[in-house]
Amino acid sequence: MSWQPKILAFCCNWCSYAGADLAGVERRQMPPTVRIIRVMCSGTVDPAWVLEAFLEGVDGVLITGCHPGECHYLNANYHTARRYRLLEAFVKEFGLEPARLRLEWIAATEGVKFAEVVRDMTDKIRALGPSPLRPEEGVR
Amino acid sequence: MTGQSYLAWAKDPEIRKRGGSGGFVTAALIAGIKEGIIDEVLLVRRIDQFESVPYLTHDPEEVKSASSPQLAAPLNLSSYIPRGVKVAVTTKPCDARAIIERAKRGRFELEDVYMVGLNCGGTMPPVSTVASVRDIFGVDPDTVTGIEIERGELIFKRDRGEDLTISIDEAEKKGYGRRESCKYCNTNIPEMADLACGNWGVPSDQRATFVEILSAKGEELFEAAKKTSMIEFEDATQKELEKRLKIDRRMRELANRRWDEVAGVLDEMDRLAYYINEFSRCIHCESCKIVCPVCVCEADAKCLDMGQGNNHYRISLYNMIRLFHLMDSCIGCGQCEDVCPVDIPLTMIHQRFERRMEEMIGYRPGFDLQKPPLQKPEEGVK
Amino acid sequence: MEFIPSICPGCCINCGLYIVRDEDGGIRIDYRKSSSVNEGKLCRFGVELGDLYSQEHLKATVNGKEVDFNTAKKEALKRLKKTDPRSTGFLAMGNSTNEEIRAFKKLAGELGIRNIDCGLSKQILNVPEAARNYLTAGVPLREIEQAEKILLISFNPENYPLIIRRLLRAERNGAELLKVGSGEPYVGRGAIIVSELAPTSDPASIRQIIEEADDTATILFMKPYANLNGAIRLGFYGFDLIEAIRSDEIKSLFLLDPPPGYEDIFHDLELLVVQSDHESEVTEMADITLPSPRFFERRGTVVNVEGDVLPVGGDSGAGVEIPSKIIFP
Ligand SMILES: Cc1cc2nc3c(=O)[nH]c(=O)nc-3n(C[C@H](O)[C@H](O)[C@H](O)COP(=O)(O)OP(=O)(O)OC[C@H]3O[C@@H](n4cnc5c(N)ncnc54)[C@H](O)[C@@H]3O)c2cc1C
Ligand code: SF4
Ligand code: SF4
Ligand code: SF4
Repeated sequence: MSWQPKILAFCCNWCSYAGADLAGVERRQMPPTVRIIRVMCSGTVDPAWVLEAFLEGVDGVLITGCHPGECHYLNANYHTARRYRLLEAFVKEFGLEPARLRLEWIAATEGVKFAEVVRDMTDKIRALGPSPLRPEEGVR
Repeated sequence: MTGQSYLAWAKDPEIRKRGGSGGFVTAALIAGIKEGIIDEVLLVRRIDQFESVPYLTHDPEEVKSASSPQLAAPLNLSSYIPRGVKVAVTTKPCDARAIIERAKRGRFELEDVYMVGLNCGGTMPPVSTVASVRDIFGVDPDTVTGIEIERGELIFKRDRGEDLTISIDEAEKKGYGRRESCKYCNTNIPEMADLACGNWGVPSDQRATFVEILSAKGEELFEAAKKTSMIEFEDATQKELEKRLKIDRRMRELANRRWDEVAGVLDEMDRLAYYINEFSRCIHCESCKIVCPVCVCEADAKCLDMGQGNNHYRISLYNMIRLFHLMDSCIGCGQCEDVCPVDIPLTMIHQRFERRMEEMIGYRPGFDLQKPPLQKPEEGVK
Repeated sequence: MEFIPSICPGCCINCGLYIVRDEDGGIRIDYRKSSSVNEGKLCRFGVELGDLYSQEHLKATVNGKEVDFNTAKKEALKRLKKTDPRSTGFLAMGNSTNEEIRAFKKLAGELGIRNIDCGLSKQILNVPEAARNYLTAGVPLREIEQAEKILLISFNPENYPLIIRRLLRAERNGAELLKVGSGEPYVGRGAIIVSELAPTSDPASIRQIIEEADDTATILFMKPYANLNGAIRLGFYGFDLIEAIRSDEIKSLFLLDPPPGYEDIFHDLELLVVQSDHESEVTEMADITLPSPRFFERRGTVVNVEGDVLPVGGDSGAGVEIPSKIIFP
């Protein structure tokens, strides 16, 4: 296969990072398209990082956090949800395809779900092609 | 009483005559100083008909000499408010909205600021206004002594020689008139201020200011003006109230139509290409950030800090961060677009993002002290 | 909070701006939207002007020691009189007002010094005398917007960002916009030709632009410092001082308001007198320094890009009080 999308995933230490790990341990079928950055909470993901990731040339950004009500820091993922909603609107207004940005709640036990989300996102982005924000000289 | 509207005018005939409407604003400001309600007044002082600067004073004589509206003064006073003193500010709706957003972000206590609101149909860029006198009428701009907008007519007053009149529509078709951002601004009555003053609703044969009292602070100033016998007034009649609101409605319709014209073209466009192309001219002078009244970050701002030296990006991170950060706070004041050296239509662009947020969340910045959406958690997440 | 209408000394455009003095004595700029050349807009240099004006003010010194102004002035005169006029030069690269340059020129004359230069003598002398008025002809920037054809000859608009929007508007109005490299052929009929005249410009290509333009063309030479237009119009040229300093032909120099970027050439001078408004690498090298008021405080004029003579303290009457001290009356 020629072109593979590059997806950057911000994964919460307490849930989805472990979920991603589990997906690996259980040897779930998952395309090699995702690069994971572990964060202490999805609520620490600064939208500016998401914008920077796109400018650096990633083809998609995935943010994953604990299910509502299960945040390790009480309600920080409600802040994540708010920022995500605005980011989503931002991406639409900016003219970037909405499928390039995604938020998912994934628990530590949900290795299957993590693998599924990555597979699905990869398929959708593969259909779209490389990000139009990718720098001319390519991704570093 | 809050919610009450009056026709009011200055008792001092000179203030009444010089005032844009009935001189009420000037009289109330002076009364506020005399009664010790306010320590300072921040207003707009003319240098000449086409140039004005912000001016902070506590001298009633200075307040008096600054009366009359300056239409060719597209400035925003909110950035010049001193901390820790009681200050009255003459505020167009964009001044008032900016003041509220700055107060939210801790630049001063809103309690200390008395917003004497002015209705506003728009300000004009000084340079093109000077040029319009020369180009449309073939007249030396130095002979102009005053600029007024009345019933859709733009009038250049002159001491010697006849007044020069052209309809605002016609002037704007020729490329003169108000700032682009004012044409689609749909907040004309400063309902978020403490008082709203204007001439809409005032019968044409009467020299008075239409005053709506919007808060306890507004009432305080009005009472001071009464107590010091600086003003005379009468209740606004139902007919006058309705006339004012009718004009306001009409102005808002026109503004929204203009918005659809200038911003609607982007609906069907490849916006990504459009934005990349517009921002490709950015020389990162940072003026848009410096002048933005709702942005209170200083040298350690994220847009400046993260936005340095990534010049291989299709659009700079500086611009991207600003677009995102202003999404929940841009009030459309036009300051950024005014100063952009490469003519990027910044206000229109920031407003595209902000109005999308408004539609989605139902929040409008600059109307009350509610926390901005980006600082609040989402409710009822599934 | 005092708003002083002023102009930017960053280049020949001379953008209008306000200098704002705060209660605590701080100096910053604000945007002056009534200024016709720039409509309030500024490039980064203008935006950061407040920092420049807040720099340490220059002190009067002789041999590195602080003295009072009169002592420094007398010492400067004494030492300049002792030098051989043939190996002494007066250099003013256009960061000064017309009035200062005129006084500077007069002093050179009185001392019998003929080596005067604004940094552009090499280019100017290569142009026939009768055609030198082309070098400083102003062009109203609005005319650029309305031009049918614009030729940018060896000109990079990024060095003069405030020109970019005019070019853009011109294009939007249907103008043909062409970039021409030096030596490349072009048809200049009816065009506005924009090029740059700077100390580094090639004298031959400057001359060529003027010779090849017929009277249907308008030529605008952009210049990198505030008042080179004034300096040229006042005849402050005649000898390529920069080259002569490099070749040790010139041993003593009186330097008025030096711009940054030429530090390396002044090291080996026997006498260096500098008048400036702020401390810099050059003033540190100087034998004698003479402080002048900061640019915006000076009472004087410059010739801007449109050919207008503008007061440095603004053109609105709201005034600058500190009188400029012209060094030698
Ligand atoms: C740009 C502009 C547009 C306006 N458009 C309308 C309109 O469409 N409909 C309407 O009903 N009324 C409008 N007004 C308000 C109206 O012109 C009068 O200013 C108002 O009725 C108060 O009149 P007065 O005689 O009581 O005030 P005055 O006694 O004349 O006092 C006015 C005060 O406002 C200050 N001021 C002047 N210019 C500005 C400015 N640009 N920004 C902030 N403060 C300023 C002055 O310094 C002075 O202190 C506008 C005012 C302005 C400044
Ligand atoms: S982004 Fe521009 S229009 Fe919006 S508030 Fe800031 S300066 Fe005003
Ligand atoms: S004002 Fe214009 S040129 Fe300056 S930083 Fe903002 S967008 Fe860029
Ligand atoms: S363009 Fe020239 S005059 Fe204008 S701000 Fe920049 S350096 Fe100053």
